[in-house]
Amino acid sequence: MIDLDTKPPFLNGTERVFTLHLQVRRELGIIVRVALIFSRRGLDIAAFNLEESAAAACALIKLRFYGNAAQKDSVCRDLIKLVDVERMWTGEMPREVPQSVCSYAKNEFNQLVVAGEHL
Amino acid sequence: MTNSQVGPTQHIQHKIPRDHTATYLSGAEILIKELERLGVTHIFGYPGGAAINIFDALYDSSIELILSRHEQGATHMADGYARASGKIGVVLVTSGPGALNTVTGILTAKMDSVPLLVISGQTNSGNLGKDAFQEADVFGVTMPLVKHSRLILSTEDIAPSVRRAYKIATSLRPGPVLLDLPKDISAKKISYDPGAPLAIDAVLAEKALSPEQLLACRDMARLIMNSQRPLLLVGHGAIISGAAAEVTMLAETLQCPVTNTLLGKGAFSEQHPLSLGMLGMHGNAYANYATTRCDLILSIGSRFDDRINGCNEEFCPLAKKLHIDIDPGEIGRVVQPDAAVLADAKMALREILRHIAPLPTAAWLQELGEYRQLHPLRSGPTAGGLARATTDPSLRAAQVLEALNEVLPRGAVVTTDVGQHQMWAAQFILSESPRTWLSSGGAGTMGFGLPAAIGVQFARPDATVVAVVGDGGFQMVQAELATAAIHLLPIKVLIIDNQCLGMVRQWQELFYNNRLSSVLLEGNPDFLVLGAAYGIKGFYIDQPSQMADVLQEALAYDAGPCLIHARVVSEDNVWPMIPAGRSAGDIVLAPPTVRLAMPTGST
Repeated sequence: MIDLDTKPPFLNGTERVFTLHLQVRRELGIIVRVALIFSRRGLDIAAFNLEESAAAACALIKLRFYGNAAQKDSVCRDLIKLVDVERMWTGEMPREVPQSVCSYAKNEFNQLVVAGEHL
Repeated sequence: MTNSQVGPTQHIQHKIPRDHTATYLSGAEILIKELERLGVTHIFGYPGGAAINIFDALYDSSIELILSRHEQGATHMADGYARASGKIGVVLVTSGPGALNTVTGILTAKMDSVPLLVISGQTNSGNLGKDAFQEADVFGVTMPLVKHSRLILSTEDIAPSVRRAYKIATSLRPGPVLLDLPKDISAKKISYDPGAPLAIDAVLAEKALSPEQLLACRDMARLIMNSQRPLLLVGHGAIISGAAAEVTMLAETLQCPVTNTLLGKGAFSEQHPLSLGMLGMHGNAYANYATTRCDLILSIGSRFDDRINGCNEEFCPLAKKLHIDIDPGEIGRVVQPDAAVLADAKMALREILRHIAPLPTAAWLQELGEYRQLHPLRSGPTAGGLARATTDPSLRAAQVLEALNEVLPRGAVVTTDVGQHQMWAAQFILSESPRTWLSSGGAGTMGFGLPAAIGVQFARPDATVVAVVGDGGFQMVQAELATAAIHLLPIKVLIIDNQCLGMVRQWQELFYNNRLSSVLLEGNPDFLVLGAAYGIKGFYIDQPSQMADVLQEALAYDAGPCLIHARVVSEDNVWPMIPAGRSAGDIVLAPPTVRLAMPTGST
């Protein structure tokens, strides 16, 4: 496991390690949809973890990837547009996840209801 | 053969009402009932085994199924129908190759934000993953291309899936949604209670702006009021939003020039004195010049894509950049704006209009007017590329399209394919109102023009519809002439026949030392004979002196479709041109006397 506080030696100048947490609906194909956001940009997902959520219809994804800030921003913008992605956090996920700390959140039809740090 | 000899008799079928109970319906019947309840009147499609239950359910439906000759044609027809009407376009195909033939159409709709519902039959759910006959994972194949998709695995899930697909496809930034429906799921009968009327209007209704959005609009208005050389950039989003009136009011109030993207044609009348027309790679010189000189650019539903912004670092170098878009993914994606409003364009403009007043732009407008006088668009013998004498009698594509613009009736709808003819059409056919210019912008799909025109004519039966196509793109979808002929659709198919793939040839001439590789379309058919084989009337032009009369005669013909074969010179190039990857300041206005550097941009 890579230490988040240390820049891995194989990363280029502006590249960093990013961690994303997503709350997703447990719908067919959601893992592929998330993965495609990265692969279409030529980005490799370094670590990927899927867990059941307290909410039966949802699951939690934690993933890490290497890239620069612009790539991370671009990825986040497309991830949150996925219909089955309900909420997303960057960095470490808080123990409690009230709506107010979400970087992004939206309603059923992909409409953002909380403007986050990147908007 | 005449048009009276084709078509109508092929439609006469004796419909035998089926005996089924009112409450127990098959999945296929529920699907069709739901589409009827959503207001769908036309479906474009092609049948097959895995979709046969759905086609059977259509037999009793009020929905008209338009049978294409290829599934790609069906998707472009539905796309054209949607773009022209503002409604959803619906496609129905079978599994395997039938479904995969829709992929190009789905990409086209996704790139241009067109609401499309693609319904594909699928092998029985128990066969999934077993390489069953005509099984293809269209759900997986199309995943990167759709706004959303669903493999329906229970009959009970059909009705909610259709309603949700409709909402997702048509709301916010529209896009294609795919529903993959296994045959056993469409066959199973369940109790069906349609319930209360669907509240689809609520989704599409104008939404009031939030306090944050109102504040952002006011901030944006403040920036606008500090500008002396403002420029409005209108894109497809302005048309989708229905914001044409607000764009006009904003431009006239500010006395601000307006430029448009390829897909923004019609959001602001290109006949308006404040219009600079299209900008970008093959846009007007004066529109591109404006981007180099403006001190503020307000993008309304444009995504600053690489056709108008070849070099991000040099785009509008003197300007504050403002962006209105409904898609959060587009804000800052290409150009980092100085201010942005994440909202529906129409609603945002209405709020901005409350906070603005006329700007002192007389000097700015005069500067642009003088540049326009210096570098107007040219269509004549000296415009294309070769050092031809001004007396050269050969027919030029740009001349034909300029002549078409002069005889087109108001409100006529023009569709195009992709390539040189598309750019000349965009330059010379001036769009005055929204949803009258349909072209494949983002995907650049050859073969879009003819089937899209068919879809347009179904959506707007009274409109004059002209498909401007190249000889290359037309031959990709020419079988759809049958669809047009059978329904006696009075579309006019103008084939700009330069006997080559002109835009690729232009690049090879300019950047690859004229090494023409695989661009000459040897073996083109006699297009008029081809049309006649479908019972379609034909017209021919190969002299400039014939253009006006022939085009007028073709436009007046309404007994069915007609083909206009315009045989033009092969060697013309589209000017102006900004080489890919370069900025507006690098625009090439006329045939260069020295070899151009290889572009750094991709296409």
